Amino acid sequence: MANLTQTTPLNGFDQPIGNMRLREITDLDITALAIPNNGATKFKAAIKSTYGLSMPSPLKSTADAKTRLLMTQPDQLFALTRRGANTPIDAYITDQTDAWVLLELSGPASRTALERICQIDLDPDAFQKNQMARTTMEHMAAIIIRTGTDTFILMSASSSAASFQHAVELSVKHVS
Amino acid sequence: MSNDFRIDGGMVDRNQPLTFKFNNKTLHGFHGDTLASALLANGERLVGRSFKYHRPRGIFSAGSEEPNALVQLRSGAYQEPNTRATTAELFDGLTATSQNHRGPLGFDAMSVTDLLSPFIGAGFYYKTFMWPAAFWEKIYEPVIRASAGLGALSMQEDPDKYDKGFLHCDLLITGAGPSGLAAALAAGRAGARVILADEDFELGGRLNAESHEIAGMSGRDWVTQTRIELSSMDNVRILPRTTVWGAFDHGIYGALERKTDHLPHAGDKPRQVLWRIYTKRAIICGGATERSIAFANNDRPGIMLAGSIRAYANRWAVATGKQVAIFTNNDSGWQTAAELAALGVNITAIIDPRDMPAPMHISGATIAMGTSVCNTAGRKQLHRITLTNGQTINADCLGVSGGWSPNVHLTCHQRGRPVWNDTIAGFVPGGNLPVGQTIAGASNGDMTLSSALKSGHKSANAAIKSLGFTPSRAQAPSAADEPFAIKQFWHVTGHKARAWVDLQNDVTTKDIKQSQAEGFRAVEHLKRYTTLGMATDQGKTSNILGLAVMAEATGKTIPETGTTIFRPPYSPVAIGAFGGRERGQHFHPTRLTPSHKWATEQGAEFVEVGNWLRAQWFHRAGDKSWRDSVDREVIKTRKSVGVCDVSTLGKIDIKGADAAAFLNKIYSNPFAKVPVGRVRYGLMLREDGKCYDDGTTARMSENHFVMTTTTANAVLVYRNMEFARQCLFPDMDVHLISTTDQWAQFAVAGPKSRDVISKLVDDIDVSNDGFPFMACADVTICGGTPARLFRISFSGEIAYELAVPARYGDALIREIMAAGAEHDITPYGVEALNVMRIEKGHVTGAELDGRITAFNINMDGMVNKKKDSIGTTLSQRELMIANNQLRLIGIKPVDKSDTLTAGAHFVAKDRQAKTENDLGWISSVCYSPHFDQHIGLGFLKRGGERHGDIIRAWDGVRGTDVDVEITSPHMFDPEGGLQRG
Repeated sequence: MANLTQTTPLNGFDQPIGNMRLREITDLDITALAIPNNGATKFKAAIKSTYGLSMPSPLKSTADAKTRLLMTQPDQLFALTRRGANTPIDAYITDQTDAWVLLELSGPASRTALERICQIDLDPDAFQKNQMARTTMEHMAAIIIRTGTDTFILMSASSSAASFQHAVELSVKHVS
Repeated sequence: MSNDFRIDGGMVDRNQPLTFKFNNKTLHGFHGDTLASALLANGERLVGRSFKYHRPRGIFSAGSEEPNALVQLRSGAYQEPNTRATTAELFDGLTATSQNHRGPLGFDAMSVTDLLSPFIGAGFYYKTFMWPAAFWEKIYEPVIRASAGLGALSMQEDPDKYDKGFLHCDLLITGAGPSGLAAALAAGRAGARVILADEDFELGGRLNAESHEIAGMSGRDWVTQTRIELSSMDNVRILPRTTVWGAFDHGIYGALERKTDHLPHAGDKPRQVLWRIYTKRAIICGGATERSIAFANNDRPGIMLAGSIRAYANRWAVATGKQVAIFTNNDSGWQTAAELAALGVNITAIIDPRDMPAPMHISGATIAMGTSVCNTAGRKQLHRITLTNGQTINADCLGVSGGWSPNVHLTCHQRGRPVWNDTIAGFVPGGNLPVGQTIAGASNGDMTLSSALKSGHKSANAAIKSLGFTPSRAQAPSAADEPFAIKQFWHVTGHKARAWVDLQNDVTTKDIKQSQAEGFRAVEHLKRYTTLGMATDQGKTSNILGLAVMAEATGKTIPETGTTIFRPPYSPVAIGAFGGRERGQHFHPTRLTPSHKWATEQGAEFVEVGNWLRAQWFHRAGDKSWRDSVDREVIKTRKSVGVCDVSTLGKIDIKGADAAAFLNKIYSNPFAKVPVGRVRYGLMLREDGKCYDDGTTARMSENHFVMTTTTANAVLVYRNMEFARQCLFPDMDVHLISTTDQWAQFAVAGPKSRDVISKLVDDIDVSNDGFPFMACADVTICGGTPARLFRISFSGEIAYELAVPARYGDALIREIMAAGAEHDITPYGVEALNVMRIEKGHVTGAELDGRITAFNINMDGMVNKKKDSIGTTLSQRELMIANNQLRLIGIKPVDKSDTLTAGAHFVAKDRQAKTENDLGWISSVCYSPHFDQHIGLGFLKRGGERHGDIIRAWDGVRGTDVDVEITSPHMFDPEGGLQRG
């Protein structure tokens, strides 16, 4: 029997709108790593040795070309890795790849567009590259990460992906 | 008639002529006009009818304080009533109509109410429409609403779009007049992030209306220079056409930006954006509003605020009359006279009640010091005024100035109570201001230009310094202080005709005196009794005058009389703007199951379950109604096999060395010793001992559990568990994460379910011995796809639940259908699921409604008293476990053809259906194809002892009364043999 075929929450949505581009990111795995009680030191070392990245401080992310680490709460970290990459690490691991939809918004007006749905201050001085925040957008829980001057990754629940896409896309269209 | 009243100068762009219509009459204006300035330029004096007496009314002011010139803008579904002509920016093709009249504006049939005015003074309807009570809704209210009112809604859905947004700044400056611009310059130069918002489409505030000089140049040039400098700063954001309408907690301000109201068409963009502005500091530079003086017939078209007349002349190049008289108790009115005279407008008279020499000479004008205007003539257009010295003077326009009231609105939104300032004869901000807020300029009582510039500059420097910025060394812009002297003079007595205080609500000095005479003397009572200060203008031009008249009537001072305070919004905000984009299906997010696409293809009817859309049933050819579909799904599942998407149930992964110990605290029944590979049903109690959720939890490995919750309670359960983890048991090594969206999960139920499952799983024994009831395992399916398999049953049949990462959900449902084809597998929706669980006697949210205990659902045995878990102690309170309490029961109508209704109450056969005879209620009902009749679940006092009894199910709402037999709630397969396989 053949393996089951896969879908993504938005079927790979990718659209230029004005001077911006909104696309679904489909090639990342999301792994939640919970830090065992009293195991922070060991965990930090394991993160360094596994990913070659330092552990981000709360509400920050660290990243290289292969991996992005998000400190989502005091004892929890999300590792965003290339699809299928192995992440052996001594922690409580939970696959979250299918729980989220990831959108990337890029382009000169992206910050202006996000003003319409994002309560976070996205001024470059207040929200710098690699900074992240857990927030809500249009009543949907969301994570926002600045990956570049005008580039943001937005994460929200996969079950309401269509509503989330609509909310972001409408914001983009309203300012483009 | 076309622009006969246009004079030289002004800020309108004569190179951009515009055409518009008012009451179907084609008129012309220029870019830069408001609808009001264009109407005045065209000589249109009569623009509306008053609220109560349908008196002819003209344009009274030049800003958002306008009480009279309310019009309906645009047409069809785009029509917007009660729009102030004084703030509506003119565009080519604008259409406007006057409102609140029956018949043409000039011959309003409802003006007869003016003749009835002696009978309909303040509070008349409180006294008049007392009886009969039946007339209230059917006659009085419709008649009153039809005769008194403002504009009309289109009664069509608003086709305009609206949006919301969020802004952040170090310093918000509301108002871009002299103090606001000076503040923005100071803060912007120091590097602070500044938002400068103004309701006008031009920056400058009163500077556009005056002929001031600043820093050696005209005020208007200084505004232009300042705007250019501010626009060049990346740290300054200028928001024209933006009204800051509310000051909320923690330095948050509400603002409405009118994005496209000045354009003929909005295109596909939002018309308005409602901003939430997060500020560290805010400076209110809201200026001041001129007020009137009360005298007989002071409401005629042509009687205006003197400062507004100056604004129309200086900014819009409009003379508001050919013969202009001025009635003023302060120097500002003289300024109007002087500037109009300099522009060539004929000033016929200046009347000033102050006993002093005239401040200046105006050529050709009658100067009457120590005198007042005591009456006017001209029904639809002023043509004559009468003075207290008996003199009559011809005038088609009368400018009135009773002084200027600081705009303290935004300082009151958190109960700040303004204080009286005798020098300026006005209230200035006082009491507790919203956190981080300071006031500058005329809003703070700095009524002259130089003082306004200095206070804006100084306030901004203080605000940014407190945030750690270093103020620039630049000084405040230099300017002279214009004369500002005032005598407190409020109304002209000695004339019987009505003198208006509040033009928008038709409140007169007589109404205020009547309110006082009838005991409504407190300012808040005065407001409610007379309607003074209500409606769209919120009394911007009338409040202080009304208070002063009340103070005179009561013999008190104004400070002793007090003042009403303001609530948001500062000026009206369309309800559509509050709704924003959240309309129709976008009112809330929609969650879709992994099989949604497939279910749509299969003809599913969907039902909203919270934010989820779940398949309710699947229509098939031959199904005549939804009942046919549901009955078929139940029967086929019970006879063969069915499949249902249960992905919506909450799923929580619980991991950690103390995961089992933690669950032992969360659930009332034991979990510490659940073996790996086994599932256990669990019951959760609130701290008060009542039930709040149930579900199954599977132990996948030593330190890993997977919990399922009811769909509706997924978030609540997760939140409560996080609270317990972080606050009650912080030392436990336990970690929670929601995996609801991670997994697509399908229930495969029915006698043939094992056959279907065995075709899907890779190399695992799913026989009763190999995978017994309440077993669980991490498996692979379909040649290597990771999955979780559970042997659990909600239907009472032998059943499995199979979960895969959501990306495989669509493929898996198709594989399940293919694997079950030989058994004619049926997809079933939540209706069939509900029927089967009622047959089986399983509880859901219909039973666990927040009032119910473990005892009530016959699960008191699941509350383990030997361990300490949340809610155990309080669940054992005497009255919660007493034998006479409610018990879950099943019911069947004695007459099989009877139907049951959820919500019906149980009453003994020989008792009346009254509260004291209430024995319980029906919580769930369905038609059971298995029993071929309606069945139900419910709660009955001593229900466990009454199986076999016959009682009544009485439903007073739906008018039914059915004899029912009490049974065990476990009506289908009570021994549970089927699900154990």
